[in-house]
Amino acid sequence: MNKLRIFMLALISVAMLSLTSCKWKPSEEQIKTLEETKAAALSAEETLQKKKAERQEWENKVAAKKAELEKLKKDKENVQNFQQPAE
Amino acid sequence: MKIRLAVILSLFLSLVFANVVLAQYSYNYEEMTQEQYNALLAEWQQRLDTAKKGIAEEEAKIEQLKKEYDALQAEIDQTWQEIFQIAESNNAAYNAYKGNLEQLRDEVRAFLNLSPEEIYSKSNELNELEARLEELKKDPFSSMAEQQKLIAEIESLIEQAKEKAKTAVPPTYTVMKGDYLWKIAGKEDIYGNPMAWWRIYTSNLDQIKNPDLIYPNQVLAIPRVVGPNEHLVQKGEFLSKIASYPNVYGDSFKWQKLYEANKAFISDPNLIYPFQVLKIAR
Repeated sequence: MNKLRIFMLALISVAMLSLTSCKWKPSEEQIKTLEETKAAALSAEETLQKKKAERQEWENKVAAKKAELEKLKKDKENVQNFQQPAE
Repeated sequence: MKIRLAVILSLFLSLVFANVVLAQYSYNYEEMTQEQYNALLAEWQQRLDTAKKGIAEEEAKIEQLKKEYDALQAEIDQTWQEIFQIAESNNAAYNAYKGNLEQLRDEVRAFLNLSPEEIYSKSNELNELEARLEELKKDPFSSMAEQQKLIAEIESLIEQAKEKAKTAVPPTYTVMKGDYLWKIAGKEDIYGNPMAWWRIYTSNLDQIKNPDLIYPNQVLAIPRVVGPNEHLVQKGEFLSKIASYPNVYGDSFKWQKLYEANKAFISDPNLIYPFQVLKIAR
Protein backbone atom coordinates (compact mmCIF):
# COMPACT_ATOMS: atom_id res chain seq x y z
CA MET A 1 0.00 0.00 0.00
CA ASN A 2 2.83 2.31 0.95
CA LYS A 3 4.61 1.49 -2.28
CA LEU A 4 1.49 2.38 -4.25
CA ARG A 5 1.20 5.70 -2.44
CA ILE A 6 4.83 6.52 -3.13
CA PHE A 7 4.36 5.56 -6.76
CA MET A 8 1.23 7.70 -7.11
CA LEU A 9 2.97 10.66 -5.50
CA ALA A 10 5.95 10.27 -7.77
CA LEU A 11 3.64 10.03 -10.79
CA ILE A 12 1.77 13.18 -9.84
CA SER A 13 5.03 14.99 -9.22
CA VAL A 14 6.38 13.97 -12.60
CA ALA A 15 3.12 14.96 -14.27
CA MET A 16 3.10 18.36 -12.60
CA LEU A 17 6.73 18.96 -13.37
CA SER A 18 6.23 18.08 -17.01
CA LEU A 19 3.15 20.31 -17.19
CA THR A 20 4.90 23.34 -15.74
CA SER A 21 8.10 22.89 -17.66
CA CYS A 22 6.25 22.53 -20.98
CA LYS A 23 4.43 25.95 -20.72
CA TRP A 24 5.55 28.29 -23.58
CA LYS A 25 7.50 31.42 -22.60
CA PRO A 26 8.98 34.10 -24.95
CA SER A 27 12.72 34.03 -25.20
CA GLU A 28 14.86 37.08 -24.43
CA GLU A 29 15.28 37.61 -28.14
CA GLN A 30 11.51 37.57 -28.71
CA ILE A 31 10.90 39.95 -25.83
CA LYS A 32 13.50 42.30 -27.28
CA THR A 33 11.87 42.12 -30.73
CA LEU A 34 8.40 42.92 -29.39
CA GLU A 35 9.64 45.77 -27.20
CA GLU A 36 11.70 47.27 -30.03
CA THR A 37 8.84 46.99 -32.50
CA LYS A 38 6.50 48.68 -30.07
CA ALA A 39 8.99 51.50 -29.36
CA ALA A 40 9.61 52.00 -33.08
CA ALA A 41 5.86 52.10 -33.80
CA LEU A 42 5.20 54.65 -31.06
CA SER A 43 8.10 56.80 -32.24
CA ALA A 44 6.91 56.58 -35.85
CA GLU A 45 3.38 57.54 -34.82
CA GLU A 46 4.76 60.58 -33.01
CA THR A 47 6.79 61.54 -36.07
CA LEU A 48 3.67 61.14 -38.18
CA GLN A 49 1.77 63.58 -35.97
CA LYS A 50 4.62 66.09 -36.31
CA LYS A 51 4.65 65.66 -40.09
CA LYS A 52 0.88 66.19 -40.20
CA ALA A 53 1.29 69.43 -38.24
CA GLU A 54 4.09 70.51 -40.56
CA ARG A 55 1.92 69.75 -43.59
CA GLN A 56 -0.92 71.78 -42.09
CA GLU A 57 1.48 74.67 -41.57
CA TRP A 58 2.57 74.52 -45.19
CA GLU A 59 -1.04 74.34 -46.34
CA ASN A 60 -1.75 77.52 -44.39
CA LYS A 61 1.31 79.21 -45.88
CA VAL A 62 0.25 78.23 -49.40
CA ALA A 63 -3.30 79.46 -48.76
CA ALA A 64 -1.91 82.80 -47.54
CA LYS A 65 0.31 83.09 -50.62
CA LYS A 66 -2.65 82.30 -52.89
CA ALA A 67 -4.68 85.05 -51.20
CA GLU A 68 -1.73 87.45 -51.55
CA LEU A 69 -1.40 86.66 -55.24
CA GLU A 70 -5.13 87.08 -55.80
CA LYS A 71 -5.05 90.46 -54.08
CA LEU A 72 -1.99 91.51 -56.03
CA LYS A 73 -3.65 90.60 -59.32
CA LYS A 74 -6.57 92.85 -58.42
CA ASP A 75 -4.10 95.57 -57.46
CA LYS A 76 -2.41 95.20 -60.82
CA GLU A 77 -5.76 95.57 -62.55
CA ASN A 78 -6.51 98.69 -60.50
CA VAL A 79 -3.12 100.24 -61.30
CA GLN A 80 -3.70 99.43 -64.96
CA ASN A 81 -7.11 101.13 -64.94
CA PHE A 82 -5.97 104.02 -62.72
CA GLN A 83 -7.10 107.44 -63.75
CA GLN A 84 -5.94 110.68 -62.19
CA PRO A 85 -8.66 112.15 -59.95
CA ALA A 86 -10.44 115.12 -61.49
CA GLU A 87 -9.06 118.46 -60.31
CA MET B 1 19.76 29.85 11.90
CA LYS B 2 22.31 31.61 9.72
CA ILE B 3 21.49 29.37 6.82
CA ARG B 4 17.77 30.18 7.15
CA LEU B 5 18.49 33.89 7.18
CA ALA B 6 20.70 33.57 4.12
CA VAL B 7 17.98 31.65 2.27
CA ILE B 8 15.29 34.25 3.12
CA LEU B 9 17.58 37.12 2.09
CA SER B 10 18.51 35.53 -1.21
CA LEU B 11 14.82 34.80 -1.91
CA PHE B 12 13.96 38.44 -1.22
CA LEU B 13 16.79 39.74 -3.44
CA SER B 14 15.79 37.48 -6.30
CA LEU B 15 12.22 38.74 -5.97
CA VAL B 16 13.40 42.36 -6.18
CA PHE B 17 15.66 41.54 -9.14
CA ALA B 18 12.84 39.81 -10.94
CA ASN B 19 10.57 42.84 -10.41
CA VAL B 20 13.19 45.25 -11.73
CA VAL B 21 13.81 43.11 -14.79
CA LEU B 22 10.12 42.68 -15.51
CA ALA B 23 9.28 46.36 -14.91
CA GLN B 24 11.19 47.44 -18.01
CA TYR B 25 8.84 45.44 -20.17
CA SER B 26 5.34 46.62 -20.99
CA TYR B 27 3.87 43.17 -20.76
CA ASN B 28 3.77 40.39 -18.29
CA TYR B 29 5.72 37.92 -20.31
CA GLU B 30 5.45 35.33 -17.60
CA GLU B 31 1.72 35.01 -18.19
CA MET B 32 1.84 35.48 -21.96
CA THR B 33 0.85 32.73 -24.36
CA GLN B 34 2.46 32.31 -27.74
CA GLU B 35 -0.76 33.36 -29.46
CA GLN B 36 -0.89 36.54 -27.41
CA TYR B 37 2.73 37.26 -28.20
CA ASN B 38 2.21 36.74 -31.92
CA ALA B 39 -0.91 38.91 -31.93
CA LEU B 40 0.87 41.73 -30.11
CA LEU B 41 3.89 41.57 -32.36
CA ALA B 42 1.65 41.62 -35.44
CA GLU B 43 -0.32 44.59 -34.07
CA TRP B 44 2.78 46.66 -33.34
CA GLN B 45 4.33 45.71 -36.63
CA GLN B 46 1.17 46.84 -38.43
CA ARG B 47 1.09 50.12 -36.52
CA LEU B 48 4.75 50.69 -37.38
CA ASP B 49 4.12 49.99 -41.07
CA THR B 50 1.05 52.25 -41.14
CA ALA B 51 2.96 55.08 -39.44
CA LYS B 52 5.91 54.71 -41.82
CA LYS B 53 3.58 54.79 -44.78
CA GLY B 54 1.84 57.86 -43.34
CA ILE B 55 5.18 59.62 -42.81
CA ALA B 56 6.19 58.95 -46.41
CA GLU B 57 2.86 60.30 -47.66
CA GLU B 58 3.07 63.41 -45.48
CA GLU B 59 6.64 64.07 -46.60
CA ALA B 60 5.56 63.81 -50.22
CA LYS B 61 2.69 66.24 -49.59
CA ILE B 62 5.02 68.68 -47.78
CA GLU B 63 7.45 68.54 -50.67
CA GLN B 64 4.59 69.24 -53.07
CA LEU B 65 3.38 72.16 -50.93
CA LYS B 66 6.88 73.62 -50.78
CA LYS B 67 7.07 73.54 -54.56
CA GLU B 68 3.63 75.15 -54.82
CA TYR B 69 4.69 77.84 -52.33
CA ASP B 70 7.84 78.63 -54.32
CA ALA B 71 5.84 78.81 -57.55
CA LEU B 72 3.34 81.20 -55.96
CA GLN B 73 6.15 83.38 -54.60
CA ALA B 74 7.69 83.53 -58.06
CA GLU B 75 4.32 84.54 -59.54
CA ILE B 76 3.90 87.21 -56.86
CA ASP B 77 7.35 88.62 -57.62
CA GLN B 78 6.52 88.63 -61.32
CA THR B 79 3.20 90.43 -60.68
CA TRP B 80 5.00 93.09 -58.63
CA GLN B 81 7.40 93.66 -61.49
CA GLU B 82 4.45 94.07 -63.84
CA ILE B 83 2.81 96.55 -61.45
CA PHE B 84 6.02 98.59 -61.26
CA GLN B 85 6.24 98.52 -65.03
CA ILE B 86 2.67 99.78 -65.44
CA ALA B 87 3.19 102.49 -62.80
CA GLU B 88 6.57 103.32 -64.33
CA SER B 89 8.05 103.03 -60.89
CA ASN B 90 10.04 100.68 -58.69
CA ASN B 91 10.03 99.02 -55.31
CA ALA B 92 11.88 101.87 -53.57
CA ALA B 93 9.36 104.42 -54.86
CA TYR B 94 6.51 102.18 -53.77
CA ASN B 95 7.92 101.90 -50.25
CA ALA B 96 8.49 105.65 -50.13
CA TYR B 97 4.88 106.21 -51.21
CA LYS B 98 3.62 103.90 -48.48
CA GLY B 99 5.86 105.67 -45.96
CA ASN B 100 4.45 109.06 -46.98
CA LEU B 101 0.89 107.86 -46.52
CA GLU B 102 1.66 106.39 -43.12
CA GLN B 103 3.41 109.58 -42.04
CA LEU B 104 0.45 111.63 -43.18
CA ARG B 105 -1.91 109.38 -41.23
CA ASP B 106 0.20 109.81 -38.10
CA GLU B 107 0.24 113.59 -38.54
CA VAL B 108 -3.55 113.73 -38.92
CA ARG B 109 -3.94 111.45 -35.90
CA ALA B 110 -1.76 113.81 -33.85
CA PHE B 111 -3.87 116.70 -35.11
CA LEU B 112 -7.01 114.97 -33.96
CA ASN B 113 -5.61 114.82 -30.42
CA LEU B 114 -5.59 118.62 -30.21
CA SER B 115 -8.41 120.53 -28.55
CA PRO B 116 -11.24 121.83 -30.78
CA GLU B 117 -9.92 125.36 -30.28
CA GLU B 118 -6.41 124.38 -31.35
CA ILE B 119 -7.71 122.55 -34.40
CA TYR B 120 -9.86 125.53 -35.29
CA SER B 121 -6.95 127.93 -34.99
CA LYS B 122 -4.76 125.58 -37.06
CA SER B 123 -7.33 125.00 -39.79
CA ASN B 124 -4.71 126.07 -42.32
CA GLU B 125 -2.46 123.19 -41.34
CA LEU B 126 -5.38 120.79 -41.59
CA ASN B 127 -6.08 122.10 -45.08
CA GLU B 128 -2.42 121.54 -45.97
CA LEU B 129 -2.64 117.95 -44.78
CA GLU B 130 -5.74 117.47 -46.89
CA ALA B 131 -3.95 118.94 -49.91
CA ARG B 132 -1.06 116.54 -49.33
CA LEU B 133 -3.51 113.66 -49.33
CA GLU B 134 -5.06 114.87 -52.59
CA GLU B 135 -1.57 114.97 -54.09
CA LEU B 136 -0.82 111.43 -52.94
CA LYS B 137 -4.11 110.26 -54.46
CA LYS B 138 -2.75 111.17 -57.87
CA ASP B 139 -0.21 108.35 -57.70
CA PRO B 140 -1.22 105.08 -59.42
CA PHE B 141 -0.18 103.21 -56.27
CA SER B 142 -3.12 104.87 -54.53
CA SER B 143 -5.46 102.51 -56.38
CA MET B 144 -4.01 99.47 -54.61
CA ALA B 145 -6.18 97.91 -51.90
CA GLU B 146 -3.80 98.51 -48.99
CA GLN B 147 -3.30 102.16 -49.95
CA GLN B 148 -7.02 102.64 -50.56
CA LYS B 149 -7.65 101.49 -47.01
CA LEU B 150 -5.03 103.89 -45.66
CA ILE B 151 -6.40 106.78 -47.71
CA ALA B 152 -9.92 106.09 -46.48
CA GLU B 153 -8.60 106.08 -42.91
CA ILE B 154 -6.84 109.44 -43.41
CA GLU B 155 -9.94 110.95 -45.01
CA SER B 156 -12.02 109.79 -42.09
CA LEU B 157 -9.50 111.26 -39.61
CA ILE B 158 -9.53 114.61 -41.45
CA GLU B 159 -13.32 114.59 -41.40
CA GLN B 160 -13.29 113.87 -37.66
CA ALA B 161 -10.83 116.75 -37.08
CA LYS B 162 -13.08 119.10 -39.03
CA GLU B 163 -16.10 118.00 -37.03
CA LYS B 164 -14.18 118.49 -33.81
CA ALA B 165 -13.14 122.01 -34.85
CA LYS B 166 -16.77 122.92 -35.49
CA THR B 167 -17.41 122.91 -31.75
CA ALA B 168 -14.93 125.78 -31.45
CA VAL B 169 -16.67 127.91 -34.07
CA PRO B 170 -17.54 131.26 -32.44
CA PRO B 171 -20.88 131.41 -30.66
CA THR B 172 -23.22 134.24 -31.49
CA TYR B 173 -25.06 137.10 -29.78
CA THR B 174 -28.34 138.56 -31.00
CA VAL B 175 -28.43 142.35 -30.62
CA MET B 176 -31.30 143.72 -28.51
CA LYS B 177 -32.80 147.18 -28.41
CA GLY B 178 -30.48 149.54 -26.46
CA ASP B 179 -27.33 147.47 -27.09
CA TYR B 180 -24.07 148.96 -28.30
CA LEU B 181 -20.74 147.21 -28.86
CA TRP B 182 -19.12 148.59 -25.68
CA LYS B 183 -22.06 147.33 -23.61
CA ILE B 184 -22.15 143.89 -25.24
CA ALA B 185 -18.38 143.40 -24.80
CA GLY B 186 -18.66 144.33 -21.13
CA LYS B 187 -21.24 141.61 -20.39
CA GLU B 188 -19.83 138.92 -18.11
CA ASP B 189 -20.89 136.08 -20.42
CA ILE B 190 -19.37 137.86 -23.45
CA TYR B 191 -15.89 139.24 -22.69
CA GLY B 192 -16.43 141.03 -19.37
CA ASN B 193 -14.36 143.92 -20.70
CA PRO B 194 -15.93 146.86 -22.59
CA MET B 195 -12.60 147.49 -24.38
CA ALA B 196 -13.07 144.15 -26.15
CA TRP B 197 -15.70 145.85 -28.34
CA TRP B 198 -12.93 145.99 -30.94
CA ARG B 199 -12.92 142.22 -31.08
CA ILE B 200 -16.66 142.09 -31.79
CA TYR B 201 -16.39 144.86 -34.34
CA THR B 202 -13.35 143.46 -36.21
CA SER B 203 -14.82 139.96 -36.19
CA ASN B 204 -18.09 141.16 -37.72
CA LEU B 205 -16.85 143.56 -40.37
CA ASP B 206 -19.12 141.89 -42.91
CA GLN B 207 -22.19 143.22 -41.13
CA ILE B 208 -20.97 146.24 -39.11
CA LYS B 209 -19.97 149.14 -41.30
CA ASN B 210 -19.99 151.67 -38.49
CA PRO B 211 -19.21 150.47 -34.94
CA ASP B 212 -21.56 153.08 -33.56
CA LEU B 213 -24.45 151.63 -35.52
CA ILE B 214 -25.75 148.21 -34.76
CA TYR B 215 -29.36 147.08 -35.03
CA PRO B 216 -31.71 144.90 -33.00
CA ASN B 217 -31.83 141.24 -34.15
CA GLN B 218 -28.40 141.48 -35.75
CA VAL B 219 -26.58 138.21 -35.02
CA LEU B 220 -22.96 138.91 -34.11
CA ALA B 221 -20.16 136.34 -33.89
CA ILE B 222 -18.46 136.25 -30.47
CA PRO B 223 -15.18 134.46 -31.13
CA ARG B 224 -13.57 132.68 -28.19
CA VAL B 225 -10.41 131.64 -29.98
CA VAL B 226 -8.26 133.27 -32.61
CA GLY B 227 -9.08 131.76 -35.97
CA PRO B 228 -6.65 130.70 -38.67
CA ASN B 229 -4.94 133.64 -40.38
CA GLU B 230 -5.93 135.97 -37.58
CA HIS B 231 -4.08 137.85 -34.85
CA LEU B 232 -5.61 139.32 -31.71
CA VAL B 233 -3.78 142.53 -30.88
CA GLN B 234 -2.28 142.63 -27.37
CA LYS B 235 -1.24 145.67 -25.35
CA GLY B 236 2.17 146.96 -26.48
CA GLU B 237 2.02 145.53 -30.00
CA PHE B 238 2.42 147.43 -33.25
CA LEU B 239 2.17 146.36 -36.89
CA SER B 240 5.88 145.76 -37.61
CA LYS B 241 6.21 143.76 -34.40
CA ILE B 242 3.23 141.60 -35.30
CA ALA B 243 4.52 141.17 -38.86
CA SER B 244 7.81 139.85 -37.47
CA TYR B 245 6.11 136.96 -35.64
CA PRO B 246 6.99 133.60 -37.25
CA ASN B 247 3.32 132.59 -37.46
CA VAL B 248 2.51 135.91 -39.19
CA TYR B 249 5.15 136.83 -41.82
CA GLY B 250 8.38 136.44 -39.90
CA ASP B 251 9.48 139.76 -41.36
CA SER B 252 8.84 143.13 -39.70
CA PHE B 253 9.10 144.90 -43.06
CA LYS B 254 5.91 143.22 -44.16
CA TRP B 255 3.84 145.36 -41.78
CA GLN B 256 2.40 147.13 -44.82
CA LYS B 257 0.86 143.89 -46.02
CA LEU B 258 -0.80 143.61 -42.63
CA TYR B 259 -1.97 147.18 -42.85
CA GLU B 260 -3.39 146.70 -46.36
CA ALA B 261 -5.38 143.67 -45.24
CA ASN B 262 -6.92 145.57 -42.33
CA LYS B 263 -7.41 149.01 -43.77
CA ALA B 264 -11.13 148.71 -43.13
CA PHE B 265 -10.61 149.61 -39.48
CA ILE B 266 -6.99 150.86 -39.28
CA SER B 267 -6.91 154.47 -40.38
CA ASP B 268 -3.40 155.16 -39.09
CA PRO B 269 -0.81 152.33 -39.30
CA ASN B 270 0.90 153.71 -36.21
CA LEU B 271 -2.26 153.35 -34.19
CA ILE B 272 -3.72 149.95 -33.45
CA TYR B 273 -5.65 148.91 -30.33
CA PRO B 274 -5.79 145.87 -28.09
CA PHE B 275 -8.59 143.42 -28.97
CA GLN B 276 -8.49 144.31 -32.63
CA VAL B 277 -8.57 141.11 -34.70
CA LEU B 278 -6.14 141.51 -37.62
CA LYS B 279 -6.54 139.43 -40.77
CA ILE B 280 -3.26 137.94 -42.00
CA ALA B 281 -3.28 137.92 -45.80
CA ARG B 282 -1.33 135.00 -47.26
